[in-house]
Amino acid sequence: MDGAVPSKKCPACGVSVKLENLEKHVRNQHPHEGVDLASLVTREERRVAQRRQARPVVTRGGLKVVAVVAAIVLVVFAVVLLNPFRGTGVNIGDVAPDFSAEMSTSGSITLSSYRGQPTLLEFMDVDCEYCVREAPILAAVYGNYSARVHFLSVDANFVGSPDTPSRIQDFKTTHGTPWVYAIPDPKVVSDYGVTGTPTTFILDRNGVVVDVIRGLAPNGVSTYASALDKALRV
Amino acid sequence: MALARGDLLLLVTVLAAVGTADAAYLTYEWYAAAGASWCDVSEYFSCTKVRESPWSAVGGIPTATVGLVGFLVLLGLTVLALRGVDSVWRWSTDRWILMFAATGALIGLGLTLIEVLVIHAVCILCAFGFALDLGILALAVLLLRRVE
Repeated sequence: MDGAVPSKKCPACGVSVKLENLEKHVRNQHPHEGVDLASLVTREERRVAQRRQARPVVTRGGLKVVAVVAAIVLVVFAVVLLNPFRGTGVNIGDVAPDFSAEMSTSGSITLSSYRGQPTLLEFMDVDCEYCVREAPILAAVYGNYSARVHFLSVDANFVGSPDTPSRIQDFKTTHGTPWVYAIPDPKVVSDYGVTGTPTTFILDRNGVVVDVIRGLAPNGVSTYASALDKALRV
Repeated sequence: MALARGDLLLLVTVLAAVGTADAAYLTYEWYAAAGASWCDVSEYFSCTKVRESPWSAVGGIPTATVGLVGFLVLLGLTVLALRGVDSVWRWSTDRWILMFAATGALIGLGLTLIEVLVIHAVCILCAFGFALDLGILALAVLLLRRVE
């Protein structure tokens, strides 16, 4: 399994010669030295050299095929990785698209009715592990900002069992998150470009997105606090 | 054009190397993404959705890690074969390559079916890894048929 070229010193001149060429070297270069050719290479050394000679040949045409296949596979991999077909969704500076959704209690809520005050708009799923982890963080943020900021969580219904109003109410009770929860049309989720939960948009009083937090907030409460402070300054 | 054994082995090496990179990236994202979305095209083609499912890990070990190990083994075997090693233990390297490629393809098929039928979402990077493994399997069959 050794990849080094098998070689051995010539007993006549001391030069290192490839094992497969040693006999030829001694025969041609040192014909009068009386070196015993039969004992020049041991059986084991010969076996190693033969194994090396048995290396599969890569043809010139085959190399071209390999190069083409490698290029195609790498391009496909890059396209999949960089994902240029992903929708851009809603980004910082955009006006958050308005929508109406059924609340988990009863009745419906329209996002634009929250204008005039900043809004924390969370896309979540009651079955999403990270949304469960984020709930106490948001509850702490709610404790500090509920007088000045609207809180609205919408269930994207991404994973697990279908999310119903009663399951959402159970989630609110379990995790101590008393603000409004709603179940939107799936088109709302796609319009916002939400592909993972939680995704949280921080909107200023005019409904303009000032920050987007995808996944768990990196610094917990302070991440939301700084984003909401920015929204309050507008 | 008929490909020589060395050409086929080199092709397997390339596919296994890309598969290793793919599985390594998936493993990295599994540990690093922390709930953030990644590798998502739509609600259906969503790695996030697959990652958040209980099927993304077995006993705390991400399935992507299993793929990473499998591709690394295939890569090692093809490198050995290209260096002239004909057999490992009692089997030929070609047969080992076929065995690992077939095992990987079976696991990949199972996981893809779970994605479509249970999770209702497809992780395109996982599907890409599965496609690479199918390619390796086809080449491994060609390798053995050449010998026979």
